[in-house]
Amino acid sequence: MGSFLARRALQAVLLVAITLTLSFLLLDLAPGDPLSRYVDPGIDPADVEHLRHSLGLDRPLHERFASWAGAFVTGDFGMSLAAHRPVRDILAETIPRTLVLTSIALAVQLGLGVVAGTFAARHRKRAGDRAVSFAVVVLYAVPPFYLAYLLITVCAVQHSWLPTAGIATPGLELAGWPWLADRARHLIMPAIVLGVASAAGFARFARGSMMDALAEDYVRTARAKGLPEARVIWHAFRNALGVLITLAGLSAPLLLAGAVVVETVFAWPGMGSLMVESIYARDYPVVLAVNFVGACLVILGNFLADIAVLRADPRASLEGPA
Amino acid sequence: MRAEGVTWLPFASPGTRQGVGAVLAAVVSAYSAVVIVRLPTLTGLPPHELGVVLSGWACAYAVMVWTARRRGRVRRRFDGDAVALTAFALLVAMIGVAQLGPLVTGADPSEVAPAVRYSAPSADHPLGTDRFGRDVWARLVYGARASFAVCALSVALAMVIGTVFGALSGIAPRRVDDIMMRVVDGLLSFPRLLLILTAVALVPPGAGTLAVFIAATGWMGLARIVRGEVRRMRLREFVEAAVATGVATPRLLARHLMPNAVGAVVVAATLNAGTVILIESTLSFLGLGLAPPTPSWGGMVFEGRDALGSAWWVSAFPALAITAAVVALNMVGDGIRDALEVRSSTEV
Repeated sequence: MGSFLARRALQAVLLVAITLTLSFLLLDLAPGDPLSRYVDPGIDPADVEHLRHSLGLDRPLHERFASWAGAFVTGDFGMSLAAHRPVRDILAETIPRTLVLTSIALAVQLGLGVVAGTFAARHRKRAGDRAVSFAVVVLYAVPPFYLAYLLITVCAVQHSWLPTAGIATPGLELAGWPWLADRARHLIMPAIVLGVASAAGFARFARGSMMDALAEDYVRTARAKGLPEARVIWHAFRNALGVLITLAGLSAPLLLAGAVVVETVFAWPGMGSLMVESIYARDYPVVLAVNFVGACLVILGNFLADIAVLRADPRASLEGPA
Repeated sequence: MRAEGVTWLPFASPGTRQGVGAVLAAVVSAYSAVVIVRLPTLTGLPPHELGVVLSGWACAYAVMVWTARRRGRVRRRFDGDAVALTAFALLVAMIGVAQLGPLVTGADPSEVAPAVRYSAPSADHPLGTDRFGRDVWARLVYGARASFAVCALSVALAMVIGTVFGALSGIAPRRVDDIMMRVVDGLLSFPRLLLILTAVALVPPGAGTLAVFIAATGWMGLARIVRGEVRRMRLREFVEAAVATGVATPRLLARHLMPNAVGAVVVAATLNAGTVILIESTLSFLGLGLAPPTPSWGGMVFEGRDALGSAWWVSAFPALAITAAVVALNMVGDGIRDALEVRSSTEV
């Protein structure tokens, strides 16, 4: 088990290195350098040269890469071109917000996905399965941004049950429980949209792995000896759990991608909306840092899923997770 | 493959009387009917529009004739699958309408008419008009063109990259194969949308570039499938026999290994196409897809977001189009997979 995790960790580090290199090359491929957008035609070319030199933009590619990658790994992502603040400070604010949103969405996704998948697997090839499977496909296909606007229109504009957007009611000084309640009210719609959107794909996989588990001999044995159906399902679920956890880990990139859309629609000030705003502003240091942190989060997610599989499925420690 | 299956008349062949063949025959007939009825408009079109309309007809006709000739086991099973067949009909109809473009819309998709802004669906504007008085139906049709073009291009590219990479990995020695698959694992763990967004931020794309970006981040699943099929087939006797008779590796791949992977690739590509449509619409929703004068479904939803309560038609129809296209692609993909009788454990 130790060596397996060590191998995974090494793989993760390699991936991060590749991410870094790719990000840097992408930045270098961009037309014009980061300065060109901020330089006025009236500025003296000598000043521009001086600025380029002080920012190190005139050094050869490999030198820039070395110093940049060194700084990046230690968490120094440079300065934001648009906000004139260290990218690290901006990320320190936005990452927790995205993590809160995505973890609650993940909970929604797992709950909905497992319930729908198990239901469909139990009613395999019958009306129940068809109905759930169709609903799942439709839910997967509805663009999440439309879903978000529908919810906003109904719950916030027409009925004002919930706040339209944002992370907290502006201008309200709250503390303790009221503060938490205000935050939670702002979180409901984005988390539901993100969770439901990612549950659709997950339910398909959950159905598949539950179907495989329900086809096993021990399920027939359990039924034959007259166990209540709930216990039988629990047997199968416990066996499918390893696969389900791996799949949940694999849904991290989807959650992040969804967060880009959902955060933009709900003006949730996390990494996703930061990414989109930075692209509009051509704020490349922020774009690359978000990309990098996103990749790290995904790798971390997979790694955590691996550990969780080892805890949840004793068979996995023998030969590595499914 | 019998000779009587080939004929130039849409309805005269046994292959076009049922299932996929019948759907295609119906679409070709409807397409031809529209072309004939709107002949005056057609002759007045600029050359490239004329090319799109006519090549659409030629493609549909060619596909129909091709499917009419062969009705094997897989095709018969697909024809028996009502859900997949309906989805297929919907998909082909949507593509057909997109190809017909100016012949079915009547209005210019970018024509601004302030007098009729936010007018509800009516005889003049079947799906209403948007904030600038532009015809939603016309924009929907032209948006379909953009979506389908990006989708087709990107899926084709991803298929090529994935197939080549997967096939090479499949026949490569163990160690090389291991490295290649780790690369695939690595790329699969990237947040795809973030990568595409970064690329789009650096190089503002046209349809071609956009397709390249989407394909470059989406070929890994296909590579994995092809590699798996090739590895599986390599153990079979007919491959051993071919190797023993001295068949060279490229020929072995092309003649003996790849034909067995075609089914799995088609299924994966069809399902992938749905994802591409969603990604393209997400990008254009964020204002980072194709540049604004080109109508796009995602952009239309964005433009209609403020008027969802009052002028629901502006965003509802493009959202419906995205949903319909993605659902149809998924169901066609599922249908092909079922028709190919792939094992149940891969059924997810």
